[in-house]
Amino acid sequence: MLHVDHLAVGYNGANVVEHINLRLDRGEVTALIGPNGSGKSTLLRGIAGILPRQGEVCLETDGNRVSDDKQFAYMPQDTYSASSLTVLEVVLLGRLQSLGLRVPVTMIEAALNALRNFNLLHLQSRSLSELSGGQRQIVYLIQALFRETAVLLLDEPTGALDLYYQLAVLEAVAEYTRRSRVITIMAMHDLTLALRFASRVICLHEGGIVADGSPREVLSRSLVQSVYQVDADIIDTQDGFRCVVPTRSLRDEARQAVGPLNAPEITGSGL
Amino acid sequence: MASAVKSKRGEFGSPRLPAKELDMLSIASGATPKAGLDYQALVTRRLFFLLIIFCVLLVVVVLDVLVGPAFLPFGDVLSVFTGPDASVSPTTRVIVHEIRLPMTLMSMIVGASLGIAGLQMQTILGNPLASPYTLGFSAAAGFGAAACILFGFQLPFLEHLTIPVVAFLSAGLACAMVYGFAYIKGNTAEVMILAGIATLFLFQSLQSLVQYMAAPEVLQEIVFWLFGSMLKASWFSITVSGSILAFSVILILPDLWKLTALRLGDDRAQSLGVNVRLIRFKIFAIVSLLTAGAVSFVGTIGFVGLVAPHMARMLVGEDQRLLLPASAGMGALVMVSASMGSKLINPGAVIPIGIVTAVIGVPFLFILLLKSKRSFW
Repeated sequence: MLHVDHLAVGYNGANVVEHINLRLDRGEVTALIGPNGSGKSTLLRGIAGILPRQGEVCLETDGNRVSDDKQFAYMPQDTYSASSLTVLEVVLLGRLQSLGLRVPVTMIEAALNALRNFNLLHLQSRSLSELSGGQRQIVYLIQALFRETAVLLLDEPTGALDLYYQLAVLEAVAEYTRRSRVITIMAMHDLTLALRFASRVICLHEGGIVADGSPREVLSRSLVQSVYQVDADIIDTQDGFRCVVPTRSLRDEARQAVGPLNAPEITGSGL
Repeated sequence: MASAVKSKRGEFGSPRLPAKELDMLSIASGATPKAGLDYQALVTRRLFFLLIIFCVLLVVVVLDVLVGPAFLPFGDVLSVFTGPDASVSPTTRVIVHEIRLPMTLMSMIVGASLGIAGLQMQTILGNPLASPYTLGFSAAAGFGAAACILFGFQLPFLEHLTIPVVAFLSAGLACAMVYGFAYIKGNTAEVMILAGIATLFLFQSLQSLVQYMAAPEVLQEIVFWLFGSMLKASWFSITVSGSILAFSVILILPDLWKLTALRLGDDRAQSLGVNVRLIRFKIFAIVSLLTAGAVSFVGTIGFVGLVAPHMARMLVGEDQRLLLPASAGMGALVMVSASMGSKLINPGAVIPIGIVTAVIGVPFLFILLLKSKRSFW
């Protein structure tokens, strides 16, 4: 179990998130949702130990609590890279602590296998800078999984992916989390995907937790309205999935609130 | 339309696996996939390039020893190393042992030092334009030397080493300034680069001031030092600079993978277990030492530290296990070639090597840039 007690994280002495207390179970995928600037990335970076933090973050194993940042694999949301490292080298770096002047053949084979599982074996010797943003995002995800840490912290893991790979990646992460008994926290903007793949949803707003529970409990019309200021319906599909569907455009809402908008109309020629 | 969409989707990964086959548990299983030769072939090719660099370096080193303003016959020069003592005149022996060999070896050491210093500067700052020269270390060494020459300052008991020692200390001071400022402002790459460029302009201005104040004959001496010349090389300077180079490489070796990881950015490197602040400080200190050790004896030499790492990167990629020796080899290759060029351009005279490095190095870089199909930064 991951224990987060009285956590506060910020920049230059000013806290962005604070009063964070969490208990997260192994085998559980937690979606961290909230509007832009609510502190999702900051919280993940604080838990990972990348940003200085106050409070305690520790893992409980067999009744023993241990604070060890090496047990956290953090995947930033930014996929840009100018590096010409090859894809296989990037995956190998996931086990940086075990790499020496000679890389064991078994480790190279395991890295190749990881690439093959995501259908990227053919990119093994391509340089990172030559990949698309989506390809880089999957490579970074493979690197995070290749580390085999107890906790996965994924910041917008599907932000650059097409629909097929959004599903493929999240299904793989959910399956890996369940079968390997790791703890996964994913910062997500896509509420429908959060409903579908997370076993727990935590909503951050203005640096604090405003809702925490099962996806069906947390993701309600009122929460979406109060946190995102968007009117949305929560719809159950025939296949048993739930979707968050905005019901009105922001323009309609703004008109209703302040009268006709003065912003110029965007026409085809204007684009 | 449909075919266009299909071909675009095919770029990502073809053929796509059904999601149910994405079994991440097999990552840990060590199951052996068949298609693994591609990366191994790439590594073999890179090792071959590394070997080529050192083979060419060896050839250039031999040629550099063979040529010089004394126009010694090649056979006589080779006899110094292979023949019996009586067959070679004492003059030839002195020229080869005390002038040519030290110049060549010093060129190698300075080139390798600047190649490594430039590589690591670019790595820790994540900037392709970073080098010991562009961050003001060489300019600081130049200022120290110029000030020494202008004021006639001499160290007690170490008169003949005054200029190298003061140049070394000046370069160290510049590094301390850059790092001190960066430390106060959070030790980020951006602050280091800005502080480095400010330091470069500061010491260049101070150099100009010293030159402005100097009498014509003193100015000539200052300018000659600032050009950089291997004529100042001696067995003592080789011992000191060579020891610093060896010591620095030993210190860097345990961190090669961490330095490779830094190319993914600070956040990712830190997430992978790299103490980014610590390694940045450590490597910065090593680069300072390497640069000061290289330029304090032979004068200001730019360009090599900037381009040798790029040339090496184009040939062997960014895995520092190969990139470190390749940068050192490429730096040495450019410097020794420049040393040879400095003796051949104007036969009978030795042009300061600092003038020749860019003339020799730029064509190298352009050829590699044109030949390279991959992006390299």
